[in-house]
Amino acid sequence: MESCILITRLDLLNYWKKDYKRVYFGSEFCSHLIPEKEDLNMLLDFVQKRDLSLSLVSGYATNREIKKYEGLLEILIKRKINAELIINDWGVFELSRNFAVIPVLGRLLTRQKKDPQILKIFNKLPAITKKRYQAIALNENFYEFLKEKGIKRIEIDNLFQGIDLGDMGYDLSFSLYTPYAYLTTTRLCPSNAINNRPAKALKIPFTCTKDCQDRHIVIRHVNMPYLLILKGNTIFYRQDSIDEACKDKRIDRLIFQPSFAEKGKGQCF
Amino acid sequence: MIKIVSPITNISEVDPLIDAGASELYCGVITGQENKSLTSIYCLNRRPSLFSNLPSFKELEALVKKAKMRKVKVSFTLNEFYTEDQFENVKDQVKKAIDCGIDAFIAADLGLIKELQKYKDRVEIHVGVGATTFNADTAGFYQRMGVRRIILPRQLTLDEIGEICSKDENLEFECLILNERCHFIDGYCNFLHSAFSYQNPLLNLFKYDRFRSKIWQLLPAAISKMIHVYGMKKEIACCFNYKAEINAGTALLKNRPSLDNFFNADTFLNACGACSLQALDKAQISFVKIVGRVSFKNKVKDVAFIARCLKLLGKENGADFCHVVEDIYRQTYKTYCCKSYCYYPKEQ
Repeated sequence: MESCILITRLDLLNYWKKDYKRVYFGSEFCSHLIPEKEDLNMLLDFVQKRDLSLSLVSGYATNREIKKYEGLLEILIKRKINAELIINDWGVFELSRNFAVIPVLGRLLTRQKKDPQILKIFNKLPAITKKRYQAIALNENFYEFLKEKGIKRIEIDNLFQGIDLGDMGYDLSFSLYTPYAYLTTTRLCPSNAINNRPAKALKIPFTCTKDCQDRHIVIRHVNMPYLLILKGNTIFYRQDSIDEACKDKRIDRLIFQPSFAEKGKGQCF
Repeated sequence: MIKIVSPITNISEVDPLIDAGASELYCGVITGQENKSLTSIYCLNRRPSLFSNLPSFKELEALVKKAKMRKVKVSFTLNEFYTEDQFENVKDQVKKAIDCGIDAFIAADLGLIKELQKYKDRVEIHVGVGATTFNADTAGFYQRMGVRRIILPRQLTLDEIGEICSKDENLEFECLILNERCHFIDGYCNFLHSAFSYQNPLLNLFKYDRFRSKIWQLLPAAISKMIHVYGMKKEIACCFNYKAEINAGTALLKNRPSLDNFFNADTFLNACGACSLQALDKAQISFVKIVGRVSFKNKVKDVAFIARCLKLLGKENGADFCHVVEDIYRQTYKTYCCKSYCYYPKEQ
């Protein structure tokens, strides 16, 4: 099992341990957290010095943000880094085909049913519907597509209802994010709106003070069986137990996300 | 000229919707047997209730026939992402829908798009908001997959829409214009939209039985809307009234955040982008979609409203256009238009 750490900022390298043989750098969710070129260069110095592997994490992107990713990919090529690119937008994937990077299907494009509310009815569901809520949205044609495009690794979140990767004999490896699973994300950032009170409507923030890096918002509702965590523009839940998921040997990589709760160090999104 | 794409859930709606100004119709099917054996949350088209769907392919065939007599195209919605176990059912629905004579599929799953390439001589492929086309490269990607039309995600600004549309003249682009502006990005959202109904007798009463759905349709629009909003607040996590506390390390900042206004069912349901029609026209948007296959909404009223606004294009300019549209909104819905309902807010 390969262990990795996911960071969005260089100072989070404090959390790096010798067990982590790979560093994930970047954000899947927020355009304001796309790494600067200088930061990527410094990170590359860090990983090269320690002989670590690198996965550059990309998010969904507008035309403007696609250009930023292009700049980052140029650095990887210039420095001859054999890196993975975590793809969460098909436009970024198209761009990446001009660069020698290894594409990995990110968790925004790996569709899973994650709402913890499912637990309230899960036992009442017919077996086939249960299976649908444990599986990932991977069918024979999609697998063929991934194969054609050279995508051999898929990234997934940990589900409360358990994960069923199926038995179709697909030649794929899986990475599991832990302990936070993302539930949903938005460009209409609630954290930004809260910081800019009075705010009545959610808007796309084109400037951001990135206050979410120092805080998270715990949200609860009587109909939601677990606490949810609003971190920036994304809602997560925390699922610490990974033993059950890791029984499936196709999951051969764990991506650790530093805890949200530790001020000034652990906020990775 | 921008054309209107309207939802339809009943064959009796064909003529009134076309008369009101709909140029295209879209719908899905959930059969009673499928609903009984698999439960509605297994749904293949992201509308897990019977009254948002046609009850059979026989009805779809009749609907398509009727629409074709009026020279109106019908799209069939299969906009989920499918597991291996679901895919046989999906392929089966594809064949049945093609046999019914539909003109296009609204898809999001790349596996399904690949499947639909086999039928490209008979049907068009449209990708829905679930396909998350946030940039021109993604649009190009789908075009190379054989896609004819792209329905853009809700969370793009008018400028961003213009940038995407201007890059490719061989693609058609469609935007959402009315109702259900999700707070989150549709294609990246994992909230369930129907789990709680299993436990709530009031909601369950109306949701999972065709006969009960008919009773529901007989209710006055205001009452059915009230029940629907109640259901959303109880059932759909993106409309919950969450209690929130900011946690900044060890310091808990009390009394700061209120999420009440953020995940609001009213702004979600009543969203409107009519005063952006001019900008969308300039951005080369060819189609605008009225969201919502649910039956409590008066689809005919919605179509007529947008059709009336479209007639103003070219006649009114800038601020005048917005003012006239606001007037038409007030006349149509007997209420004032509200900035928080705005699909494409001008001030970001």
